[in-house]
Amino acid sequence: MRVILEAIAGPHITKRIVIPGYQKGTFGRTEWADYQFPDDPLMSSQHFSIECVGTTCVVRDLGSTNGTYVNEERVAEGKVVTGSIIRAGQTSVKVTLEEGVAPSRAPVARDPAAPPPQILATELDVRPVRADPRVAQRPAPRVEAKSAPSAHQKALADTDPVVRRNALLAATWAGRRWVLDHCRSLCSPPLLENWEALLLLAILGEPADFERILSIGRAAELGPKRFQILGAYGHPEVVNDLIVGIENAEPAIAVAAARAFTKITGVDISSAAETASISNQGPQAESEPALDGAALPSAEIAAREWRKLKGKFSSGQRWLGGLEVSRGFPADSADKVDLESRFEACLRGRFQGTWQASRFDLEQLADTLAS
Amino acid sequence: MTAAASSSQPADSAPLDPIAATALEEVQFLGRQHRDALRSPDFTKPDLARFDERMAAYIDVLVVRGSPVIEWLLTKLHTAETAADACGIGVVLLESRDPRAADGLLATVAAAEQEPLVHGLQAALRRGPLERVLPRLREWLASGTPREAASAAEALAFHRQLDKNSPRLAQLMDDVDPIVRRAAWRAAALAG
Repeated sequence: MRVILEAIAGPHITKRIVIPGYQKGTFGRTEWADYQFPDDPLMSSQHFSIECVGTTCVVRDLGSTNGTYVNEERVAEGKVVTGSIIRAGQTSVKVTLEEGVAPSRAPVARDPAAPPPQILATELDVRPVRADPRVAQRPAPRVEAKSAPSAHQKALADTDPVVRRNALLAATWAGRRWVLDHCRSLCSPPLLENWEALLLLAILGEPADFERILSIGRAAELGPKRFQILGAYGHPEVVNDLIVGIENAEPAIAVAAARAFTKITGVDISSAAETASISNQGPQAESEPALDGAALPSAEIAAREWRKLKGKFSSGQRWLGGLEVSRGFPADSADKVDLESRFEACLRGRFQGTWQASRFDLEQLADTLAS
Repeated sequence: MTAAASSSQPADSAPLDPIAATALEEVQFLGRQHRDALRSPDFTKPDLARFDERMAAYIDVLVVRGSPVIEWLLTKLHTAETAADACGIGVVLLESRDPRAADGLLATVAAAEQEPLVHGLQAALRRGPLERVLPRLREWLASGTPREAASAAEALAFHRQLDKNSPRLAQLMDDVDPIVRRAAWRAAALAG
């Protein structure tokens, strides 16, 4: 489905906005909104949002000063259909829903135990479904990458890499949908200078990003860090690559691959042997953790354990410590997982709009931004 | 190993007493542990809570010494070389809820040039109570220099006291100084 909004009253009369499927849009007066009405003084900076699931579209007021009205009834949240009139500030927009284009991907209060919506490829305007049916349950939507608002665009092109990184994290934290496309645009070829975007793609990526992630995970020029990408993505189909990494004679590679293996499966594959006074080598050496005394992993144990586990893991697309988390992170697990994984789950949840940030989450974010 | 066993006392700021010196070193050491563990694959949130419980006990050791410890900590704050050192001192100063401590801390924040020190002081503003510094931070955001305003925005955002649509924040995000832009985007991120 796509949503067409046409301004029928207010300073932006005749303005027409098309929201493709798979996207949530926010509307307001300033650049903080995805779609802007700068000449409407009565519209709040971020006034309302529209989000669609299946054939249902929901309007939400974003704490606006003057309220959001659907058919002249003030709403905090309300459904809209073709012909509905949304009023915000001086602006009134008429809604048209066009079905059969592409379904929305953003969940709205979906029962976490419910199966993902089944989508018939023939109903969609999408790229061909991946050949490997084990990998992608949903086809990638052919959605134009809605570009970042201008403040973000400027920051993402800043000469200072820390400003670029911070702006990207700010957009992720705020759930800006264009972040994924921005990260995708930076992943080929995968370069260390774009590390934050590569890692974000792994954390936020969808099943359709599998081949991209695998390419990054196989990019030897990234050094051992490439296994962090595979671990953060958490797809069971990357585990064979991890086992190959664990077999590597270079301890830094083997340890990094083993960490990712354990991160996904929850299985410790340490052997009795330890690294001793190993100095990392190569261009990434300074950014790698010290390995002195780290337990060397056993590729034999990893392969044996994976033979036992892979049947179970084939049932899901994203795993963390042996838990299937593709439909969300169980709240009662938040204090049990390691803090790296917890922050990644938090970022993903924030991006998807399913995670209410705590003070601790903000502290992790602040630390990331200051690092 | 404790911090006391692994660090030395700067010559220019003689300790108030040996217990206070040890307590401060432990606060700084545990703060460093906390920071290193914050996004580590080797720690969980309960691990971090254990660091924080111990740190709170050492902070109490310092705070109950009252006014004399403030002068000593302010002297040491000027010579802090690392983010963890500055953070440890800053947290104790904020926990003291002493007006002189708040003034001295903010003066150091305003004068800080090096990012590690700025980050350490910001970490203190995240961890410590803001009540004594809140009015000044609001003043900075409204009318301070760009660096003051950016520091204020960052601290206020963490404590959910910043309007993410603040026009000043938008200006700071576009400032010519990259240090200001970095801090402004940190504030924007924290403000959600």
